[in-house]
This record gives sequence, C-alpha cells and structure tokens, in this order.
Amino acid sequence: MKIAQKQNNDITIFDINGDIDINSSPDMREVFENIANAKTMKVVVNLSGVSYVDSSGLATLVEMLKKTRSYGGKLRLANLAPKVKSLFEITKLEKLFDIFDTEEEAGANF
Amino acid sequence: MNKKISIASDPKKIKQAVDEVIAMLIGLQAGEGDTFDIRLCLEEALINAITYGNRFDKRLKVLIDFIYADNKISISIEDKGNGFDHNKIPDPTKEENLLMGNGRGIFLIRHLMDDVRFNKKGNRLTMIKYLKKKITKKAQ
Repeated sequence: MKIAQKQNNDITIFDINGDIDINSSPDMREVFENIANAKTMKVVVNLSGVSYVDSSGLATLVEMLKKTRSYGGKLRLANLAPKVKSLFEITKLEKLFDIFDTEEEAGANF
Repeated sequence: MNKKISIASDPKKIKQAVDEVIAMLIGLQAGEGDTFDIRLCLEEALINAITYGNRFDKRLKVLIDFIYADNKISISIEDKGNGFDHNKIPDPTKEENLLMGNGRGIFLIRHLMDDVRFNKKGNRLTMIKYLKKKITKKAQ
C-alpha cells in the first residue's frame, strides 16, 4: 500500500493506493498518527486506489475517525469502489462516516 | 475438486494460502464479486484462527479444506484452540457498537457467504458460497 499526502488550502488529503488489510493497516495508522498529533482539522481520505479492505482496515479507518473527532476535527472518505462501499453499507459504517463520490465533493463545504 | 492447505499460525502466511485459493477460483472462472467475497471471508477466518484460536503459536497449524463441486465452494478453517461461542459475538451494526475497534470479521463472513457453520467445539468454521457465474470450464 502507498499513501500520498497533499494539501488543498486547509484540507489535508490522503491518496491511498493498494489493499487496506491486516498487513498494511499498521502503516496507515502510523501515517495518520502524525495528522492526529498535529490536530489537523479537515481530512479527506481518497480511496480511489483501494479495491480491497478487510475488517482490520475498517477498524483502522474507525480509529482514525475517532481520533479526528476527539479534538473536533472532521474526516471524510471519497471515491470508494463499489465493493468497498458495500462493506460500509453491510457494517452500517456508512452511518458513521461522511462518504462522498469524489474528492472535490468531499472537500466542499467542510 | 478438493485441496487441503496447512499453514503455521503466522499472519505472514495468510497471503500465501489466500493466493493459492484465489488461483483456484480464477481456474474455476469465478466472478470478481465472488472472488472478493471469498478472499475477504477466508482472510477474516484465518486471522481469527491464528489470533484467537492458536494465539499466534507458530507451532500450531491452521488447516484449510477447500472443496468445489457443482458450482458450490466450501471452505473449512480449523485451528487447534478451545473454540468459542460464535453466538456471543456482539452485533457490530448496533448503534452502540459502531465505533468498536474490532468484531466485524465473523459478521462479514455471515453476510457475504451463503451458509456458515461452526462445529460444536467452535474451532472449525465452514463457509459455503454458490458461485454466481455458471462454470463452463471443467475444474483441473
């Protein structure tokens, strides 16, 4: 898995490429730890390059959301592949996350 | 078609076993959706077997029994642990559980597979999936 980070004004965007699973989740957690420590307020996670997420990947995203919320920040997800999105629907995590079709939509009206 | 795979209780061994099963699914011309579901469920079951069943003891094996017949895939995963009561797993979709760090693996398996059974001890999980795409090519 590869994680690229970019900035769009005050929004921090993560582009994730590859599987988010038990092997790669720790890497994502580590990268996000820095964001949480810096108390970044607006975060978009672009999942367009992710075709597979397992339960540890879902748990890591929940953990990221909880951390962001803990200091009043917001985390949004964008560009979920249909199968990945279906996992959020099955587990009802769609109720927890703000999910957008595109990165642009996720970055608007933050 | 029947294939038995045995792996040590090491998370790093999961990929090798899953790749082997995916190769068989490709050979069976399974669709992308079915392959995604089976891959996910197999990985979740192996993670549980290694983590909670064999408690990362690399001397203990996890056994995978893959059977294909008449468009039906059956995969059993057995660990050497004491088993668990699968009925006691909290529902991760309940409002109060949504923020849980874990506990979604078995739920996903139940949802994505067509049938899921545990043996009485609770250390052997059998999951069944009927492939959506009709098999036209005979299994090797």
